[in-house]
Amino acid sequence: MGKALNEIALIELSGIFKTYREGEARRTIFDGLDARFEKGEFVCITGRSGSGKSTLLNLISGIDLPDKGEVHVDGDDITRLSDRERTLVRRRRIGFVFQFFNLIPTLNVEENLRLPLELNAKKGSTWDQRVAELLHKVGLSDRASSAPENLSGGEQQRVAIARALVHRPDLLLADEPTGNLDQQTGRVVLELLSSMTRETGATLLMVTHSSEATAHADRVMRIRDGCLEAVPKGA
Amino acid sequence: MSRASARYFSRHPWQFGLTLLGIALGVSVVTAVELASQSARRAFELSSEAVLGRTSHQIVGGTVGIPEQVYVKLRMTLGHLPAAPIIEAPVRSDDTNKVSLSLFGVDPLTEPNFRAYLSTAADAQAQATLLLQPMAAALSKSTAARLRLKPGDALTLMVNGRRVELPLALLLSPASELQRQGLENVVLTDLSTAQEVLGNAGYLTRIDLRVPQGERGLSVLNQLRELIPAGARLIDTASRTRASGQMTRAFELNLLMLGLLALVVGMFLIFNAMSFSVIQRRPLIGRLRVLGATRREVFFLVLGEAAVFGLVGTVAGLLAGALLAQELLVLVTRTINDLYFSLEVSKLSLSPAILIKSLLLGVLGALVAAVLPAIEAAGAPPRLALQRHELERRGRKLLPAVSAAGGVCLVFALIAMALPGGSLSVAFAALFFIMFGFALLAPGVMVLALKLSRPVAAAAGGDLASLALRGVGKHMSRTGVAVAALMVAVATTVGVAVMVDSFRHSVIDWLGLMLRADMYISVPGSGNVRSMAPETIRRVRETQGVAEVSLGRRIFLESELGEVEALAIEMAEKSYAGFRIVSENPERAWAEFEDENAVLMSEPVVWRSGIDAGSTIALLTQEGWVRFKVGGIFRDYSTDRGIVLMSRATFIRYWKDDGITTIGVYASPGIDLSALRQRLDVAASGDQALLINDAASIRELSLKVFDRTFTITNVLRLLSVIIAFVGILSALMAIQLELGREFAVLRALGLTRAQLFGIAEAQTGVLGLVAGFLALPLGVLLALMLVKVINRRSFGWGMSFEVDPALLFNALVLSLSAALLAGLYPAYRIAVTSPAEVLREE
Ligand SMILES: Nc1ncnc2c1ncn2[C@@H]1O[C@H](COP(=O)(O)OP(=O)(O)OP(=O)(O)O)[C@@H](O)[C@H]1O
Ligand SMILES: [Mg+2]
Repeated sequence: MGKALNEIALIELSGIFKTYREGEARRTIFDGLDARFEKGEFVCITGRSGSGKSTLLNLISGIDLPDKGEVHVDGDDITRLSDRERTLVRRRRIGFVFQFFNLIPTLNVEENLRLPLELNAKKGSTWDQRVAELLHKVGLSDRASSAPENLSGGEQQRVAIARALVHRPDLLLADEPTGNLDQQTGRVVLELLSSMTRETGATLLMVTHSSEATAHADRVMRIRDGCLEAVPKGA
Repeated sequence: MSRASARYFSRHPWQFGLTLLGIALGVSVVTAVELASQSARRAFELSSEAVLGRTSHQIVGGTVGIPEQVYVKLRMTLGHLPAAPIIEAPVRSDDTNKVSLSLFGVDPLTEPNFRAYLSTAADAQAQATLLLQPMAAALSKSTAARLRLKPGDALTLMVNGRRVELPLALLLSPASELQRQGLENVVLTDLSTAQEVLGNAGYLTRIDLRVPQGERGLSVLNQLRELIPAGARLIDTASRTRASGQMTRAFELNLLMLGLLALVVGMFLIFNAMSFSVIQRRPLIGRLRVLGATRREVFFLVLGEAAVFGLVGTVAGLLAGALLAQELLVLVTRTINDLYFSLEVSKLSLSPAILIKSLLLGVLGALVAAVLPAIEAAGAPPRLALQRHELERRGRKLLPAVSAAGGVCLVFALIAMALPGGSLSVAFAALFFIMFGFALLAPGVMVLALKLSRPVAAAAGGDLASLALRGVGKHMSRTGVAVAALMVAVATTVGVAVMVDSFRHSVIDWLGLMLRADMYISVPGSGNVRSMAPETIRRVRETQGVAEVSLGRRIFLESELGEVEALAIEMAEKSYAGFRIVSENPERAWAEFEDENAVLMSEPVVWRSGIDAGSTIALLTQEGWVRFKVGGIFRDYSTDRGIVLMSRATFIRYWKDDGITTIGVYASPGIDLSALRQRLDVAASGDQALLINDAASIRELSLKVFDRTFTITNVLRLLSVIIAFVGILSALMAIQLELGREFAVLRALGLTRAQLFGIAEAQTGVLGLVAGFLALPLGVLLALMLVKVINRRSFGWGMSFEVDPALLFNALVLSLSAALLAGLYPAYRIAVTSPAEVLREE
């Protein structure tokens, strides 16, 4: 669809090899994986446990590095960057949502939201408004000064989504965001995640097992035998 | 279950290592201090045993000793009584090492009745050698080896400022360890040789006696009393040995206290480590509980671990302690030599008592430190995972109770100090209560300080800064203990440093006050040294540029308190200002001193005897025992045994001895001092080498000795800081392990390594600052206790109390840098840990 307009994909992986040491032996996770994710897409990634879904997200975010291959973010190969430069790319362009929420326990809800802004030196009343607006959207305006430990799992995940989007990243990576929530709550979180990402025009890569999630997605991909393959919608 | 705990520690080797290190360090410092001081004491006992041999009584006294005729008379009237004439004097070898030696002149015929060492060389030959060969000397084999001498070589000595050469005629091979130690650094000669060396013909230092026990002994003692001339005295040697041993007690006490401080800090460390290991395994313990482990079992599991740690750490500590003791021994012996008497200690005496004590200390210490964590662990609810914040919330609930306990400790300390007639041990108890009180208050104060500084930090450094601050407060159960340990260590250094500094200032003031003259001429050596030739004194007086002189005689006298050092002085006009009278009415004290034979005493004598200004002290004069009025008390730091000051006129009147050992030279106004010094060099030259020193160099030398005395204090201070450093390191490592996940999330959110490193270091910096600021009041309080109470009660010295702001500033820097340094490695680990790995461990 938008392919014609954007020559450069947001994320492009090519020829990715990734192995892990396990004692003496080596375990191959990716064996020449190629992938392309466009701007504004919502892609679900599935696969058996241990197939390398989390590893894929880590490679894209630059938290982990491939043994071989290139990871392009907006045309730049981040595997060639220094750790610091990769971190700066991550800080500016990427938002994270984890299975276990991972809010910073020593910061309250509002401060957790502010953290990415602070890192990107985004200050001023427009950003204050943005924090308030996101809190409102995730329905937690009244919990701004609560400590994360006092929130329920679903509430924590809603804060995490707001935190992931507050600095307007180009890419949102979500690793089983509903994996730790009951179905009802999971549905709410999923709804929020997809609607809010679409609103900001960011790309959303979501690792999930839930068919409900895949129903929302533009595309569904599956990792199998170290490669990424498309799954026909509805399958 | 024990397998689970073994595996835990093998997976966290640094924690295992640091715990052991903590226990080992604590134990080693205490052991080393004990070993070193005990070895010194043992060596002293051995040498006095070897030197006294089977002596029961001695005849001592007189300013130049006992006339030989006394011995002759004794032989005639009490021929059957074993008696040995002895000459003993401290001398120095005249080689580059200037070894302190003890010249021991004996009668080879009577010696075997008392001491067995002569029999170690073939009897007859040894006796013959000493008797027949003029100026012959004997040394033990080991002493000769140390001096690099072999039979036939000349042993060169400095005696009373003169050089003397003695051919080494004989080597003694001691038959036992006791003999070996006793003969260490002893130069054995015949009586007449010793007299010639000392220039003391016709006099003995003492006569050793073996008086039989019981009825017969009493009658012998009565006969003896009639025999001895006025000025000499019959003493019971057992009681005398005890008195010498006591001189070093106060010094040992101070050492022991520093060792105990190290142990307290070490205990913190053990507590730290044990509680970390428990808190970290809360989930594991919860799981064990689910699987059916009882509270009791969990409790004993933790205690069992502590016992193992205690044992292993203590054994390591004992080994390290023995090594450390070797080093400390050098310092201890040097101080004793500087301050008290010449002592040679070549060997550590490893007494089982010390080993057992240290073993108990380490193992029990570990167990005691583990009780609280064990109770905590046993209280863990059987749940699969207990969340960390839940734990910390509990910790915070305990905080008021802990702080209250701290307050109670301080109240106890106040009560202990207010107790009338407080003894030294009560003062120490108070000191420890103060320290514990502060340590218990530390976490509360830290939380408060963090709360107060948060808005400031947020304004200055934004959310990242307040994030760092909150991390510290949030993990109070770890950081609180670390801060307390660091605070105690830093406060100890502050306390001791301020004490030493105050002392040093007092000494400097005193030296400035005392050294009134421009130049001092004195006979080298200590003890009852030979006095100067009258001719010398006259020549000095007449030297051009000498306005006035003061004449002094330092001598040991027998008193009702045992031996005391006395200074008989003929004052120059300006000399009076050199003594600071601390009792009431100084004018009257001086008047009585000059006109009524009154003596003045320095503070330690008053403290030791309870004799105060206005009462009297009995001294053994040439006319027998005489009671002298104590006209006043003056301040003097030259000896902690105290000194009795009298006018030279008084001394001549009662001791019939006009010898002097020091001349204070007051130059005429406008005289060039270096030219004067050259003229004095000429005037004072003769067969006796005299020391000529200007006031400045004496002052310098005195301070050097002073600083040497406190070297050991500095070493111990450093050790306690190292222990605290290890404590912080282990606390931070634990925090780092626990916060790994949080830090990984921050990395994922886009914090760079440098930023994470910064946050981690900021956190430890805050710990260091809080500990440093808390250490200041505690340290000053400790110093105040040391200066006003401990030193007073153990030495009798009064001194002014001064706090140098630079010292306090240094302490802050020390605390901060110790914390930052300790934080480096954990911070580095935080920064380099791959977030992918940590996040994977869900
Ligand atoms: N740091 C590592 N060291 C060794 N092996 C690793 C490491 N990280 C991942 N692996 C292995 O790589 C494989 C893929 O891991 P990954 O976490 O990407 O799987 P996943 O698809 O996310 O699984 P799940 O659905 O269970 O989360 C697994 O077999 C895992 O054991
Ligand atoms: Mg995964």
